[in-house]
Amino acid sequence: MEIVGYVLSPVVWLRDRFASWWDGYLALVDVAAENARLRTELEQTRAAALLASEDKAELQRLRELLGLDALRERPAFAARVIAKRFGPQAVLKTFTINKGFLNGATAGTPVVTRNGVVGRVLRAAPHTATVLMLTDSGFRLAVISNESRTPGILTGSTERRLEVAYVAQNARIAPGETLITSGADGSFPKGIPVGVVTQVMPGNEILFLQVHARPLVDMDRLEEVLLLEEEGSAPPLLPPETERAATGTQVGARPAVPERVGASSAGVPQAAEAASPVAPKNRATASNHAAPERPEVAPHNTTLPAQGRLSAGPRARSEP
Amino acid sequence: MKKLYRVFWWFLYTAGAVVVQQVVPGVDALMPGFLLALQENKPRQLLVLFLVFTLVQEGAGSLGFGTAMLSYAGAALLFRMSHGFFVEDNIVFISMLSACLGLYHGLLIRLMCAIQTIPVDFEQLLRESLIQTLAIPLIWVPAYLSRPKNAPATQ
Repeated sequence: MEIVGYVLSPVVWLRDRFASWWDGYLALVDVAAENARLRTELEQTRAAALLASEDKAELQRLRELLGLDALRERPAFAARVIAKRFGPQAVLKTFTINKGFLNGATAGTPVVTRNGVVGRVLRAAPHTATVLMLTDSGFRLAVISNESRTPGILTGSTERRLEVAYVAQNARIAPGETLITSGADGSFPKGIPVGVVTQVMPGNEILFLQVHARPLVDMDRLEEVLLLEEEGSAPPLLPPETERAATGTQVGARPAVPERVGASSAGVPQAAEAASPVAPKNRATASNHAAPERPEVAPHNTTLPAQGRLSAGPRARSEP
Repeated sequence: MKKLYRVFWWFLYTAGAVVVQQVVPGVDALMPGFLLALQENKPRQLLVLFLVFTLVQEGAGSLGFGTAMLSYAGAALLFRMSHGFFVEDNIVFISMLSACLGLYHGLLIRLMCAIQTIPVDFEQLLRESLIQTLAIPLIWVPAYLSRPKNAPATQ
């Protein structure tokens, strides 16, 4: 995987340079018209943002009144998609990113975009990692619908759709509802959009409803993703190149996170919904394929994660 | 100097194959190179390429270890079984071999998925087996023609 990363990174870089050159010099037709349209859109967005800020403040007040924990901010770092389903053995729906366990991308790390959940890291090399996509049939994620608050376990399938399992027959879930992470699996924080319910059918021979959904993220057009760090997780072993050059720090001597961005900028909705009825200790949602391997490298200067995490999931296994 | 050029050629071929695999998901672009190495019949070169190609495919793939090894070992076995009946550097021979390898790829992936209890998308597997069948001669021809000290295919 590491060799593939070394070969593909320059190719991706060249492709980006060419695309940038093309966009910057050759594709300038209708720029003035587009500029005018964008200015109009900007005005509309400003107005919408003002309204949203009011809503946000109101939500904060309501949360405080109800005594709910606000969605804790999760630091995240960006990664580039360098290949999708690489090679003849890419049976699972996976893609390769240019961040590995030296950068903080360990098996089980949640992967999102601004639109919602993408998947989680399946396995990691030093500078590259394979991400198992949400649409793979081995993927499992605890979700809850945002309106009827119906919990379920979201799985991928061999077809181009998602399925929500273990939804009670009397649940009021309806097509069009957005599914968000319930936070019950211990890795994804609560409230990240996952998909939209497309079909609800009664289970003929089972005790649960058959619920189908579609992902919010267009998996065919992924270019960049964000990886959410686990709270209390060990920092990456390597700082980004720019930071190393600026500070002169050595490998393994840095407590910070590369290309870190706040969870709010990662598209993680600040508006956490009401408390989930899903049992918080439900650990049955881990992916079937997630974390089959764990890198054995342990940083010397890292700290132990929170005690509760040590036996909680696949991420804990590689911690020192 | 020639040896260095050969090593450099293999390095370029591997890098090019990796790029092809990035562009065409599911295809094994290293296989035509492996067939080329089988034709040249240099044991040390074959062993090194077998190890490198196996490591690349195993490292990048999502199946358990052994699939790429079985894939290249199967290709070597098929080649050894059939090369006595045909002219090795013939495009027809390579096309027939690639058809067998496409079928073998589908069966091998099906078997490995069954062992690892991974659900298989049969439509996708069939499509990729066909792509693999077509890709081998398409990659093999330019590789064969550009290989140092090799003449173009005679038939």
